[in-house]
Amino acid sequence: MFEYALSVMIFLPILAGLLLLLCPVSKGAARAIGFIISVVILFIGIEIFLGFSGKSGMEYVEHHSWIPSLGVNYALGIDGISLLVLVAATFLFPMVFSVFKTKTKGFYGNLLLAQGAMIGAIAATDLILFYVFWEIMLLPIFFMIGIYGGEKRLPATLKLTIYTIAGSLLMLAALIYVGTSYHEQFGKWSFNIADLSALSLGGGFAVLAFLMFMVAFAIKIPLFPFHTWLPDGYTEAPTSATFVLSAIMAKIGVYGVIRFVIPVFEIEFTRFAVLFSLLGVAGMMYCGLAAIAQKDMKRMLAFSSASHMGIIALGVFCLNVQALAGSLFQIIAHATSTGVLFLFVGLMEERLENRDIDSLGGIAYRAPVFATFFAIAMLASVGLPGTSGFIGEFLIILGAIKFSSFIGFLAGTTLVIGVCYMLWMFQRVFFEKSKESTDSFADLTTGEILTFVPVILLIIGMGIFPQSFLEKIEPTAQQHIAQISAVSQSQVADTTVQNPGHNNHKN
Amino acid sequence: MEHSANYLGLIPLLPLTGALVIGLLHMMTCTGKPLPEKLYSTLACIGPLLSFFMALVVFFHLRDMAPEDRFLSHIAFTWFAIGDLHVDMGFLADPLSALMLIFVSFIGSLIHIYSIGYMAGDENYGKFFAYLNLFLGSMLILVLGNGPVVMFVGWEGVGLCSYLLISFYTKDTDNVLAGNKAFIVNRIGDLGFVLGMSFLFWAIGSGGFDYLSLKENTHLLTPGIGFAVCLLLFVGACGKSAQIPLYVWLPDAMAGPTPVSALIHAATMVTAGVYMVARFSFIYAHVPAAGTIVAWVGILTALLSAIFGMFQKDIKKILAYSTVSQLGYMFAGVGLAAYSAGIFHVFTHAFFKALLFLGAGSVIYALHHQQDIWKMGGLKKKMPTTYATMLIGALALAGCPPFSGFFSKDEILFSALASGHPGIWFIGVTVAGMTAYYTFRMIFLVFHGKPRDQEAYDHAHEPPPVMTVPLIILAAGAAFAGVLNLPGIFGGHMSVSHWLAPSLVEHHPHASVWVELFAMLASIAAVVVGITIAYKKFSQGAEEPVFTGFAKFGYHKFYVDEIYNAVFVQPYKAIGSLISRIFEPNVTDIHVKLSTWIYKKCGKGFKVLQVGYVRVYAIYMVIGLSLMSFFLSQSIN
Repeated sequence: MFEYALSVMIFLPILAGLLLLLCPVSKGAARAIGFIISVVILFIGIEIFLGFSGKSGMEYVEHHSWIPSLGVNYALGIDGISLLVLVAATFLFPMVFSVFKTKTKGFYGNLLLAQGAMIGAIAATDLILFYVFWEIMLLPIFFMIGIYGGEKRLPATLKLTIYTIAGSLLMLAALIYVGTSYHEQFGKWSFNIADLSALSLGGGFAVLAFLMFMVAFAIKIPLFPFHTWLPDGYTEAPTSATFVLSAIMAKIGVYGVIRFVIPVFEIEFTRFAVLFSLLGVAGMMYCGLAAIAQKDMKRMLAFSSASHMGIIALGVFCLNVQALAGSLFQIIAHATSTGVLFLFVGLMEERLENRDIDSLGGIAYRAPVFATFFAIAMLASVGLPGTSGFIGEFLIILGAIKFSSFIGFLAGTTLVIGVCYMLWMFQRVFFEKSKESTDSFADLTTGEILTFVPVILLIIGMGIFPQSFLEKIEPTAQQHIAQISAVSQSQVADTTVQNPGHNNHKN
Repeated sequence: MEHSANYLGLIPLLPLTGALVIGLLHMMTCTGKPLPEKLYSTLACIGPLLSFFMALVVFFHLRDMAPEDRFLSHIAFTWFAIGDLHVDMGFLADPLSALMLIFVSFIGSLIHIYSIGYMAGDENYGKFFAYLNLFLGSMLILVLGNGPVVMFVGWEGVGLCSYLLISFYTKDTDNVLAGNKAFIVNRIGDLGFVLGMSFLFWAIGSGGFDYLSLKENTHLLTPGIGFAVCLLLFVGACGKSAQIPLYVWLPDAMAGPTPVSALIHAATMVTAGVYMVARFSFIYAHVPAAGTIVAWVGILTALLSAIFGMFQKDIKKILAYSTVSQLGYMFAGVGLAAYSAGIFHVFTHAFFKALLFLGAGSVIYALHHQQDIWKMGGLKKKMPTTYATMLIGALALAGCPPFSGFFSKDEILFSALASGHPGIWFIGVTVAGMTAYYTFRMIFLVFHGKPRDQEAYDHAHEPPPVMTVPLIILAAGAAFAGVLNLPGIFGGHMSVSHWLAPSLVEHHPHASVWVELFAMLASIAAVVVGITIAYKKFSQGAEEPVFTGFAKFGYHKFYVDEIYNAVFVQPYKAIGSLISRIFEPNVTDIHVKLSTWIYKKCGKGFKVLQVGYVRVYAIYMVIGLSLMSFFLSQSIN
């Protein structure tokens, strides 16, 4: 039965989403259908996670020829790198359907489409297939923000869309370059990632293609300074779309770098690692500092999310297994903490129609359960030991120190920066005197508590028993790092012995 | 040879479970009818008392082993492991952690009991005990952890709890700000800890990242890295143990309920830094230069906060500065490689400072939350038990023989002299005099003379036994704990030092008996002078002075808070708003703006050609056709 598990996970939500968009169903029914579908996906996701053996290769592989003349395949698979991203994309969706009750049918339909496309992008092992899902992923987001967003949604949507499409086109060009290079070197077409990693690229074109890929992913992550679509995009998007963007879609950007850029462009990657790790750290500090000045809770969280993404990206560029595994772990940790914080803000918005930090206050006295849950997610986001946030952050900082003491030190400042804006916000929203605006705030209902308890337990459970996650990703991470260091070492040997830039095959 | 002891994990787990149960009960009921206080207080005291009981079991278990074999360990599970990094959720009881364990759980339990009375009637009674349990559980993890990462769990845990407890009365913004300050300043220290740990791991951690493995691999540590590791870890210790420049959070932390001050600022959290340095004695012994820096920072902190302490008028602030000052002594001790002396001072200090804080709590309780010592006076008759116990605490703090503080402080000062640091010794003796002065200034103003606020005095009364009994027990500890480490000069055997010896890497400096006697007499003289001045000035009903000159400067704590605010906090906020108002819309977005601009310009450029007249398009067609025919004719030829 699990032979087609991944295909089911991709196409069940896509078909259901399309049906919802086409058929006249009530919005209650649409929400119920969406919830059921997402729960089904959740169970398949759990099965895949538990059944994943954690040896370094691909599992749950599906392989069908799609465009034989160009060597394009419908190829799916999951390994240690994609596993936790997949978990993030499956575990959290039911919450969205369960929390947001007031949306329309089209909204729920788009949400399902987004989930299917994202799972497709995560599971694809063929570069063209990945690109297709990558593009489809953007469409529902476009509609969700453009139709259901806040007051200034249209400029935000336009900016986000043009930004992302620009990135996508760069990626398309780079992708064609990679494909033709493969054809040149091996005399046949293939976009399979395992084949492509055998490529040896060199020279100016390779650098250009590498940078084009990186810009496309950097926009999605978003990596400083390509993050400027984010504050408006995250703030104007309906909160559930913000959740999808920050908890999952941003991670697919990081995932893309690990999955497609590292194996193909090992040499360029090593050469530019310092630059990109500096960008990651700069983004962390810049967005973290910007967060403290925000007056809108959602906008503050948007900057906070961008700040954490900087750290996650840093882990990828540090070229050691601790930092890489830390990033992969942090992907899911960040999805559970910041993602859930976005959902909480969405809840507050539905109840109070207000996100202005200064006009709130004293929520903790009205809603102790809500305040406690919010506090746990917040503490995970600042990386307190005992929560999921600590493990990833610690591994990344540890790895960064190995990579460069200076960058490691800068990365460490996230410990302080994060806590400053979070505590100050928490103080003004949850403590102090309660104000008129919050007098009517109702605590979580039993249904809502049941919705959030699993993810709160996950946050704590991942902090105490991270090994059950780490042991599944370690072999793949080890293999990746080994591949980079082998190639970059042989490259060093090459350049010293032979002419630099010589386009010879790998031994 | 290590021995396994499964019950070690239970010691922190019991209070943590208590915290979870109480916290859930409170959370689910706090908006409705509150549950009975008895339920909460019973649940809250079970965990700490059982932990104390098991701490005793650990102690006797260790005592029955040969001194060099005194290790009990328990590995609960592999916490995380990637590549060479392997971190277990493991616990280690050796003489050092066992000593810490006993007094932390003992004093923690007493403070829980005391709080039953002190917090009675508070609307957040349950929440208070949940936090208190969580705090004690974290502290026990800190002490029992078998490696730096597990220690860090407790380290951050106590930081979190201090935040929660300091800002306990959340309706008042100042309290929350004090909590934020504590958490953020602690986090700055934690940054040092994390970086120190990382360097340590890459240097010698691949053979196992727990204390015992690290100790075995210390010889691989290069002096440069070792120095960096020591200093970075010390930054962490400065944050947690309130040393220069990170001491600023502790005095503000007095915003919390008084039992919290006793727990956090006497027995547990603030001593964590000293414990950490002693725990890593194998590294600090490797790099003596780092130790000297630690000692100097410590003694200067002691001096600075003693100066501040002399001018405060809030009874809790006086005690807060005395804590910072005593912590300075402890760092002077561990910095000079007199680890056992430093830890012994941690031990005695836990008793007398918890006693003084709880005593101050009784006074505050009796006077309905009056904390200004210039509004007290003559309370000796109204509160005899509190007076007697606090007097013992004050004598111990001042370092009067034969009370416990004398022996532990004297041991530190003696090792400063014997290890060739007369400067540290001299400052230490001066601070001893100042300590005696401000402690007895407080005692005289609160308990002697005539009442300054007659109405408050009339209503004052001794608190209930649930609060006085812990005071009496602590007073006994404050008076006699010094006997445990009696030096040879008094016919003692330095039992605590001998007990700690297997856990520490230290060498005792040798000095003649005369040096020891000289050091002792000097500090006694300083104490006598301090108490005498305080007696002359304050015992006969002095009036509140108006501070001028240096005293005003001291009362305002040299304006350090204001300076930090101007140098760090305000610029931080300014940078934040600068980024979000100026940079984000104008500078960072430049590449987007630029491409839009180019796009628009191109559009405008081409617009010139699109004029809309048929005749113009006809000309374009003619030009196009001519060019085409020209090229075609070229290619045919």
